Amino acid sequence: MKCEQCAKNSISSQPSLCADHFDSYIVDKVQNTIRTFSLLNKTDRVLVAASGGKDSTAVMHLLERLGYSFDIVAIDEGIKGYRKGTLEDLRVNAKNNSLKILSFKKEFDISLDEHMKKEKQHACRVCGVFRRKLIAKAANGYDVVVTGHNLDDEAQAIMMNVLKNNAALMNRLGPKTREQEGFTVRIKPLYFVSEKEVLTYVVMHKLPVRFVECPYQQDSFRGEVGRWINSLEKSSPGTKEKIVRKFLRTTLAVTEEPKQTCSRCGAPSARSVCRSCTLQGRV
Amino acid sequence: MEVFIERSHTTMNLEFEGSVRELAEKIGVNIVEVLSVKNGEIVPEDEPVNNNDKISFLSVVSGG
Repeated sequence: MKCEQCAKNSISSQPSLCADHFDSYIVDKVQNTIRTFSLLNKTDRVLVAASGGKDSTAVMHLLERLGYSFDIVAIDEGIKGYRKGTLEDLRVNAKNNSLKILSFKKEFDISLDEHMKKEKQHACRVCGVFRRKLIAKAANGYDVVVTGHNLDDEAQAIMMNVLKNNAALMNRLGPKTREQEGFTVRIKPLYFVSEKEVLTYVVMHKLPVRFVECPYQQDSFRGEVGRWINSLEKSSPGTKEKIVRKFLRTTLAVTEEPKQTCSRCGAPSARSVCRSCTLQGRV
Repeated sequence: MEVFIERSHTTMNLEFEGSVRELAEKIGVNIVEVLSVKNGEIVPEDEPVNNNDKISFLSVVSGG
């Protein structure tokens, strides 16, 4: 199959593009997202929340190419056989940037593995709460936090919240979080780039990323929703993008999140005591 | 043909001629969830493959 824009062989379907044109397509897509949603300025103090996986590696590579400078924070959750390798990759990729690694063990005095031996909650829920807390802490002094969330992540989050009928959580989605006192704005430059396109970009540029799956992800609700959306995408190509674009047009415009702060730690929270403090048993 | 599936870390040998998409279907892999590599090169879903090819299906679903 030939590239839609030249005579070379294509490497992608929908659209059918050769390596060079695929590269331009991704760069343009990210640049358009940044412009359309006013995500970043060249003068912003930028912190990338990275894991060393394909998404954060791709977003850092793209930001560098687009002329943005940034520091990096990574979170070590304490998951045996998982995080060590991706952090090694991150150190290779981040050799020109300031890199800070915060760990659950050091900050909360318990690793995720240790927490899961004691508690029956789902790991993703605990992990998400602690990760957000540490990233918010590291973001102090920065104008914006960049994450590697992609189109698949967003489509999954939207459908998960629809299934839970959680309009308040919908308000936290979108390519840019709303400005709120005490929170650094979080942005998603890969918002319209699918997971498959991210991997194609990473492999094409030979970026050092290894395949690794979080051991707690297997039985997660997100994983189940992701497989369901992927089966819809297979039978009806374009489903993921439709979910996200319809969401942007409708739900985002009508939801409003309550504004208050945690009575224990003072962080912005939708509850009187934030989830992190609740998990740490401070209530 | 040698086919490697990254997610399950399995390699299989089989006789097949058709497209990458048809090959994925035959072995029960959702083409949306993999990046297809033929003889070391990334290829689109309708790329023809035959018994002399070495195919890898790289998992696009990672992290957590």
